[in-house]
Amino acid sequence: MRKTVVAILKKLLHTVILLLVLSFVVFSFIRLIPGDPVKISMGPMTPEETIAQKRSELYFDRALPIQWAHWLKGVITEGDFGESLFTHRNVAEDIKQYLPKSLELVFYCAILILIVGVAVGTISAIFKNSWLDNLIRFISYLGVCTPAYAIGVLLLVFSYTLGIFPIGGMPTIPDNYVRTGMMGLDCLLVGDFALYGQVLKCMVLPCLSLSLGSIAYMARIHRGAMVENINADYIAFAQVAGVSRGKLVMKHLMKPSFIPTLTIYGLQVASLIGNAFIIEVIFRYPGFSQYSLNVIQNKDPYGIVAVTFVFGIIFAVVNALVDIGVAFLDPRIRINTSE
Amino acid sequence: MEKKNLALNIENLSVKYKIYEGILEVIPGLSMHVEQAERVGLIGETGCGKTTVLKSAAAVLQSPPAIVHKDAIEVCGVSVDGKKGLRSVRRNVSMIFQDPSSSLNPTLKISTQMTDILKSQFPGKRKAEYGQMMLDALDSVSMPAPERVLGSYPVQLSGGMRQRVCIAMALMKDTNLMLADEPTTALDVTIEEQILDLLDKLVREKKKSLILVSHALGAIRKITDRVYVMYAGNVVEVGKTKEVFEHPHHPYTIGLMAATPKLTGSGIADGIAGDIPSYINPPKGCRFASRCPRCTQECLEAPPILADMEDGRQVACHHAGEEAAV
Amino acid sequence: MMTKELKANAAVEQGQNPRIESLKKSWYKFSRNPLSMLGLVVVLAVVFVAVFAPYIVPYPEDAGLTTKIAESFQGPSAIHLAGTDEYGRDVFSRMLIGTRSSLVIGLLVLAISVPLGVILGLVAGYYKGKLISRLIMWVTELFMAIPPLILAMVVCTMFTNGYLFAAIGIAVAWWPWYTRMTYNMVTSLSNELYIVYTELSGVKVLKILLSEMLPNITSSIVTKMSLDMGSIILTASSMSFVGLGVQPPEPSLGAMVSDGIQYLPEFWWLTVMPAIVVVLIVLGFNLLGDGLNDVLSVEEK
Repeated sequence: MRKTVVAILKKLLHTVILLLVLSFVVFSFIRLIPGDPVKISMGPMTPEETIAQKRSELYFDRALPIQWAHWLKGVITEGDFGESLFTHRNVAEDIKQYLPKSLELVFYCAILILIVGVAVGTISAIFKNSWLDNLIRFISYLGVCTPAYAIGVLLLVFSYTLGIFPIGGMPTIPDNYVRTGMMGLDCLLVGDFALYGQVLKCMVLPCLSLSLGSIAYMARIHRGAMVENINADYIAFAQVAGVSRGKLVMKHLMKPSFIPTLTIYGLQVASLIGNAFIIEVIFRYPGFSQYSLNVIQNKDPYGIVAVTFVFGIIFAVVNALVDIGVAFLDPRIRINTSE
Repeated sequence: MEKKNLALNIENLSVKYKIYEGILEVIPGLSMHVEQAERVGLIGETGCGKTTVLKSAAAVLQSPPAIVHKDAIEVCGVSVDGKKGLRSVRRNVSMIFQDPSSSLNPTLKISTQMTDILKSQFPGKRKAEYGQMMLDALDSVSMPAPERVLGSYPVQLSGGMRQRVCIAMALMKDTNLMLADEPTTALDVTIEEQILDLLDKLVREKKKSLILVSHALGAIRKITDRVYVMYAGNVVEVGKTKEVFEHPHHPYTIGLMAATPKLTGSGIADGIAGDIPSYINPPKGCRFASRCPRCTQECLEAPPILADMEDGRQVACHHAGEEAAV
Repeated sequence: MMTKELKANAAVEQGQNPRIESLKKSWYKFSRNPLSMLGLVVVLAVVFVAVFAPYIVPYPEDAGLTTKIAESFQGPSAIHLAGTDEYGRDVFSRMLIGTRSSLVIGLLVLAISVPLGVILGLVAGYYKGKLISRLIMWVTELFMAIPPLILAMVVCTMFTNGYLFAAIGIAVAWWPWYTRMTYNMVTSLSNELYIVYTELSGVKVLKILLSEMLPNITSSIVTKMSLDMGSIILTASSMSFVGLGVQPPEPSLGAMVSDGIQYLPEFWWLTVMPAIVVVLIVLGFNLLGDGLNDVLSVEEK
């Protein structure tokens, strides 16, 4: 097990190095962009000297490696990601404000996807080829093919007519509540359950729009894994040896089937974060994905670098968690890496 | 023959698969029986349907894709059909599979897999009692270091140890009928004999009926009382093991015996030329005809029926009793 | 196990050209699955629309900046199958034109990423362990380290915003998957005895890669392309939903949905209709891809 941890840490370190290289690539890309981002951000009326001064402040008048090294030093020593030309704040502050909100949204989605996806997939596999299975397969196939924004729009139409859930925006969280930046969690920490309820209510639609596609996909994968393993010798053996049906399905069949499901689950959760921006736009959710979109559309150099960096780290962490989970489920991997 | 006394009775079993090229008639129509405390051997070359027969008997053949028809499969007098039948099968049949590395769940500890069997077979005992039962079970298969084995995953055990675990698990419930599907094919030759001896000993001790499928003809000869010889899904010869081995009647059995190298024999054994015929649109006559030295027009036209011979043997050959000609 | 040997026997016994025979067999299997056939029909329809859109749409002029205020916000009817938008433009016509651009972007992305990815994968796989292979796989990982959609958007906005650059952006995020897939297949093929024999008999590297390796992995790549087409169109429409890629007034399905949101729920057809078209296109490609996958992967088994 210790060796597995070492292997995963190695992988994480590798990713950090990759991300540093990537940040350099992004810096060089930004130099290639036609038009001067500094000039654009300050408006056409700004005098040349002010722009030149700003450029020099941001190290845009220096050689690329120097600019990158300066940025890297800032990141490592004081968590300084440079100044955003779009919000005119330090990017680190922006991240601190927006990222927790997106993470919270994705957290709820991740739980929903895992529970519902696996449950639906299991039901589908147990009742293989029944009408229920066919119905589930049909709906989940449709779900996989439907873009998140279409699901969002569909839910919007429904909630306009039904009027149960708020169709966009979030309740204002008082400034003195803010601790983690996650809206729901902050309410819980303060003990304001009424506001937490409101936050949850506002999250229902964004969460559903973001999750339904992944739920459908997970259900398909999990059903497939279970159906494949039903034919395995060890299931037949356990069956003849006299393991009860409940245990056979929920344990002997479920555990090995969960390995491929978990791998896909990791990919889905990681891609949720990348896909969230559409949902955040539709439902006016003040999250990191929407911020990223603005940064990208405004060609904000330090913003783009930071955004790619943060996404890369989230990707890597999710992957590492999946690796740990798979090693936990599959003794073959645990034992082989430790030999 | 009083059916109630039979450990297993299969009547006219047929198994087909539907594929693109047509219908695979894996088992066209097969009957066999095993008496109480009888040890029966099942031999024949790879792909002749032995595993399919055993899986049908243990009610674990996946259907679909398999299309199964039968007049009867009865375990200890109870048909395998329906809920009651399945329960009866599960209570009365144990089975050991070919490959011990795929018949143990790779993600669960041995102790977990064994406990789950015990819990459903002997419910309501304390944890310590289950622990003792597992140790006893492993002890009975002469497993070295049973405590360590219980805490291991299958991947941590050698092939021989895995098969011992499988046998221990198969013996944990008190069944009348034990099906062993080539239990040593995936193992080293050195371990093969140990495992077969162990199986033989345990089955004799507990007075179980046994069907042993094996390519180790020596072991079949040593362990079993009666033997079924299968060719391309059909039983071609049945009889007392000793007699079949000493005086095979069916040309396929004769070839099979000749293909086994003997310690006393000279040189390399003869094989049987040719392959098993395609199961898709199989020949309408005898399935062995294309490889048979005795083949005549009759053999190409009609399939032979398993018929009693004077010496109590049953042989499916139009030319049974013509050994002298070979 | 048993069936495999028997099938091989059967094929030999039939004694026909094995390649044509296997194609025929694949087609038989494919055509027996109604869902695969549905996918094929949808894809063919999409291709037909994409090719002939300018000639078959009822109101070709509505693709651009036409304004017919008198006709704005009409619901679906026989004259306007999918209603009209705020400028009175025919939504059905715009959807067909939008389908065309979706397909063009999808094809562009595949045209860029597949050759690039496969060639790099072939080289990296063949020279596994060598410096060049490590370098290629390292760069591949570099591009896989951040979410594809973010990467595509960054690349897309770096240049001028438009059609071609949306495709380039997505392709930049897409090729690594082909490289990795080809790499994995080639490394496992390299261990096959017949490849080893060919190598030992002194056949040139290029020839081994092109005439031994490539034909063996083509079916997997084709299957992946068909499945990817759906995902690419999804990605492209997600990007156009937030204004990246195809620029107004030219219609794109994603942008149509996003423009229509402000008119919900009264003028639902502005969003629902194009969303349905996206789902239909993606569904078609996925069904086709799954059908191919079933046929080809069973063939390999």
